[in-house]
Amino acid sequence: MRRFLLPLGGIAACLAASPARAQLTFPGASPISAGNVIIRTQPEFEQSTDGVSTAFDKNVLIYGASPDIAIIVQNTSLIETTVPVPSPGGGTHPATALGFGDTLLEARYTVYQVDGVGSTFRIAPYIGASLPTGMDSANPALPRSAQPGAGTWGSRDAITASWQTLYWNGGAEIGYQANSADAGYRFGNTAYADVGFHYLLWPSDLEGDVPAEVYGSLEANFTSAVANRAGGQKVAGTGGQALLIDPGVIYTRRLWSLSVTAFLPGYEHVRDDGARLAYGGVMFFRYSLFTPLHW
Amino acid sequence: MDGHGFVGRRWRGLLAGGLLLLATGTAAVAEETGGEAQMIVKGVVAPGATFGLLKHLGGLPGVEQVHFDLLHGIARVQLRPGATVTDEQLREAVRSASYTPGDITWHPATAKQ
Repeated sequence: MRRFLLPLGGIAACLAASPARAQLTFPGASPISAGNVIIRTQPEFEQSTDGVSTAFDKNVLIYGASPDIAIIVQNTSLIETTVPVPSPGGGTHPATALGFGDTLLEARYTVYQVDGVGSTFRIAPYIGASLPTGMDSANPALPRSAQPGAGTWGSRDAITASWQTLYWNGGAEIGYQANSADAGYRFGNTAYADVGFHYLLWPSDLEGDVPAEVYGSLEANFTSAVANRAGGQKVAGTGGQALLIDPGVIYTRRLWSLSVTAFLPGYEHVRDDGARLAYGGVMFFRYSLFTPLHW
Repeated sequence: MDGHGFVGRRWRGLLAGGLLLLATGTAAVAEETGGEAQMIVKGVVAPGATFGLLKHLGGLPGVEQVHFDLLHGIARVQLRPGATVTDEQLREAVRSASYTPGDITWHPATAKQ
């Protein structure tokens, strides 16, 4: 499961905020107007090959501070991880860790922008920090990696590029997340690379008023994570590489959009034959607001 | 020469008077019904991307209504009667929306029925 490949903060980073109609599973360089406030909620679930399941809801607030600068606050409001643990009489029973997750603060600056009629190409670096606002001992009987919060600070830096037209858009990102240690436990640092492509399915004709659009999306996320360490020793079953394939569909309007995306394992190699992601899914709901307060 | 000069002066006078009337008439229509600016906006690719653009253009003082033609990248900005908005105000609103302004053409509004 990806939870074992990445620190929890890494999951947050991997699925970080994307303004407007950007890529879904990673941050993009799409335009966001000064004063535009986008609120996004995204319930997600993941199922691993060892029976561990995780469900959580992530809430994202994106604020266009200026035409070039976006501030992003992302909080994993509630995480529930269920782990099958051995029962005294044989077999297993589910044990759950339920609680609030961590927060990711990010800033994005558009450093390069070329606009045409019905097209835009932009490059934007991100810098960010993950804050240990979550509960890192919601269920002390479960391992640290199953807790809702990482309990550690981290930094997240990335650069993204987006090329969007009226009929399709593509994007890519490369980034790195570094994590600190807490109480002798350190989640492994993670490098990641993402690509995405969206294609307009409806309407076929953009003449006249276009109140809504439907896109098909296909994205891929590659991560390479160092093993977690506890007391200086590598934690078995953590660290490795994963490539996820994410097909989805997007319905978007001027004020809001809704999308559904599946997580499917493309390639997974986890140290010590650790558990891998079996499947997962996420739904995104985005709503736009506006404030005259901006640079 | 004199006759030609007299005719020339007379035609010039008629032309000047006609232009003055035309200008006065146009000004009167603009004062009563407002006008419309049509501006090329580059970088807008989807309905969701028009939200901030419409907010910034619609927030200019004197703007009554804004429509955006996604396919052709044209913002149509209708002014209230008597209102004036400069080209630079329109361009700045587009820049604030994180897009690139293009050419602007002004059209006197048609009389409302």
